[in-house]
Amino acid sequence: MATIRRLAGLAGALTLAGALVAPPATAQAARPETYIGSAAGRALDLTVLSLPKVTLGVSSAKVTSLLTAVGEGVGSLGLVGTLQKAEVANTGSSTLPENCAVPLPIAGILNVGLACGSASASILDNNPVATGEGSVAAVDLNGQTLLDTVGPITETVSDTVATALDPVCGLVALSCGVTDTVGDVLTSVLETKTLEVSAGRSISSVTSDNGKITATASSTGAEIKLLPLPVVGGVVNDEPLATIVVGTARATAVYDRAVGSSTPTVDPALVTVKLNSVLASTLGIPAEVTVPVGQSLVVPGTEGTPLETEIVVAAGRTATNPDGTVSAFADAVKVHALKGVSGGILLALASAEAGVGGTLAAAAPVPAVELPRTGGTPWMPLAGAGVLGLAVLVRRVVAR
Amino acid sequence: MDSVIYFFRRSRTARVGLSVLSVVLFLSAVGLLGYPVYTNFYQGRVQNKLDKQIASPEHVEKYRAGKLEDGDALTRLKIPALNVDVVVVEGTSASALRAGAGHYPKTPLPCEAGNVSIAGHRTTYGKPFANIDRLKTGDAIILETPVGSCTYEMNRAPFIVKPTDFSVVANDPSTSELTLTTCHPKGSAKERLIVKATLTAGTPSKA
Repeated sequence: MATIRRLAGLAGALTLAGALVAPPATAQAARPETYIGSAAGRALDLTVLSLPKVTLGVSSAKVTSLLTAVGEGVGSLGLVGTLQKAEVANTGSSTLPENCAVPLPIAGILNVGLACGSASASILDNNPVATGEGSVAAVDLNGQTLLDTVGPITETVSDTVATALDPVCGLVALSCGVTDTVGDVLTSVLETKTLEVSAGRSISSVTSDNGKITATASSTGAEIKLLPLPVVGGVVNDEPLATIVVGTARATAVYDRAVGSSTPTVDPALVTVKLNSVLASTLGIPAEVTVPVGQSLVVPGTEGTPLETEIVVAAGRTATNPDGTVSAFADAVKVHALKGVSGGILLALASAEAGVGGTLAAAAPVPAVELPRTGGTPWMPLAGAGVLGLAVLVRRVVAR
Repeated sequence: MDSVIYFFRRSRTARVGLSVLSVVLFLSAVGLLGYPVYTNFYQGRVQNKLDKQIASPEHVEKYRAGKLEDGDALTRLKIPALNVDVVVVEGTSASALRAGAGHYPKTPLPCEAGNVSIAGHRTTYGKPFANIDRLKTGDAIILETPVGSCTYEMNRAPFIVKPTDFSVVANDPSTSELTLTTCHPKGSAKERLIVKATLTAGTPSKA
C-alpha cells in the first residue's frame, strides 16, 4: 500500500511538472467597441401645498453600442394619453407623432393646458439615433381655491408687513392697514389670478455617426407671471406684479469614437425678473433684474410678506463618473412663490442632463514574431515519465 | 483508499477497464518519451531523399532558375569541427525544418553577398545544431550548393539573443557572412543561440 501511494505521488508530480513547463494558453481575444449616450429633460416640476408633485414636459433618449435606441416624450407625467415611446433594436426606425391630452384640473387649484409627448428612434448603418419631446401649453393657478385650502388666517397685519405690502396693496387696490388681517390682505390679493406659467418644453436626443456620439437635452424656458392681472387705480392692469423669465437650459455630452474621449458642456438657464413698472417706481428700483447664475433673488416688494417669492438659479455642473462616462447637468431653476401661504408654491423649471461614455475597440494582441523554434518541447519527457508511472501504478492495482 | 482498491480488484468490469487504461497509458508514455527518437528517424528518411534531390540535374536547373520551393534541397552544410553534414532545405516553416535545417527565405542564397541565414534543430529532427555552442573563432563552415561551394570562418564566439531579435538575420549587402540560429538552452525555446561566420573562400555572387 505504501508503495502504491509512493508511485501515485511520483506519477502525479511528474505529470504536473510536465504540465507546468507546457506552452502557455492562447492569448486574449479582441474587444469590440462600446458606447452609451443618454439625455433627459424636464420643463416643469410643480408642487402646491401638500398636493402630489406635478411633472410636465418630460423627455428622454438613450442609445447603446448594442444597437438599441429608445426615445420617450411625456406631456404630463403619469398621464398615459400624453406619452409616446419609440424603441428600435439592431436595425429599423420608429417615428411616433404627438400624443396630446388636457389633464384634469388638480384639486381645483391647478389647470394644466394641452400636454403632448412625441418620440422617434432609428438604427441605420449601425448608427442608433433616438429623440424624445414633451411639452405643456400653460399652467394656471387659482389663488382663491388655494386660499380656501389654507383656511382662515386671523393674524393681524404688522407694521412691517403693512409697510412692505403697501406697494403691492396699491397695485391690487387694497388698503393694508394695521387693522386688517393677513387673511384679509391675502383674500383680496388672491382673488385675482395668482400664477400663470407659459409653455414649457423639453427635447432630448442622442445621435451617433461613425465619428461621435452626441447626447443633448434642452428645456426651453418659461414665463412665470406672479399676480398676472393686478388692479391699478380701479382698473385691471395687464402688467403682472412680477414676471420671471426663465431662459433655455442645455446639457450636452459628446463621445469621440476615434480617440475614446468624452466631453460634457452645460449652459444653465438664465433668469430675468421684470417688475411691474408702478411697483418698481414706488420702490425706487430698476424694473428689470437679471439673477446671476449660481445665485438667488427675492422678488422686490415681496420680502418679509406672505407673498415672498424667491428665485434660485443653479450654476450647472459637469462630472466624470467612476466608470469613465461623463455627465453634464443643467440643474433646474427653482422658484418658491408665495412662501408665506402655507408653504407656498414650488416650481422647478428647465432642467436638463446628458451623459456619454465608451471604450475603443481593441484588436487581439498579435503574438510576438520569433526566430524559428528549433528547440525541444521540455514538457514531453516529464509528461512521458509521469504517464509511465501512472501506467505502472494502474497495472499494480490490477495485478494483485 | 484501501476500500477503493479492494473494489477495483473485486469487480471484473473495473479490472478489465483498468487493464485497458494501463495499456493506453503505457502506449502514451512510449509516444511521449520516444518522440525525439521518432523525429530523428523521420529526419533521416528526409535527408536520404534530399541527398538524391540535390544531386539531380533537374534540381540544378531549378536552382539556377531560382524556382526552389519550401522544403526543396538548397545546400549541403558541413561543420568539420563538429562532424556535421546535413542538407539544408529552403524555408524555415515547421514542415521544412523537419529536414533538420532550413534557409531563411528573405536572406541571400548560400555563397552570395549579404547575410546568408540558416536555422537548425538542436534536440530533435537529427539535431544538426546540437553542439554549435562549442564552435570557436576560426572554425570553418562549408556550404556546397548545386552550382558551387564556399567556406565561411567563425569571426566571433557564439552568443545568445532573445527570440524576437531579428537583427541577427538582417541583411547587409556590403558584407558576406553566414548566420546560424538555433534554440537555447537545449530542450528550450526561451532564447536563441547565434553563430556568425565570414566568407573566406569562394567568390560571392550578387544577391
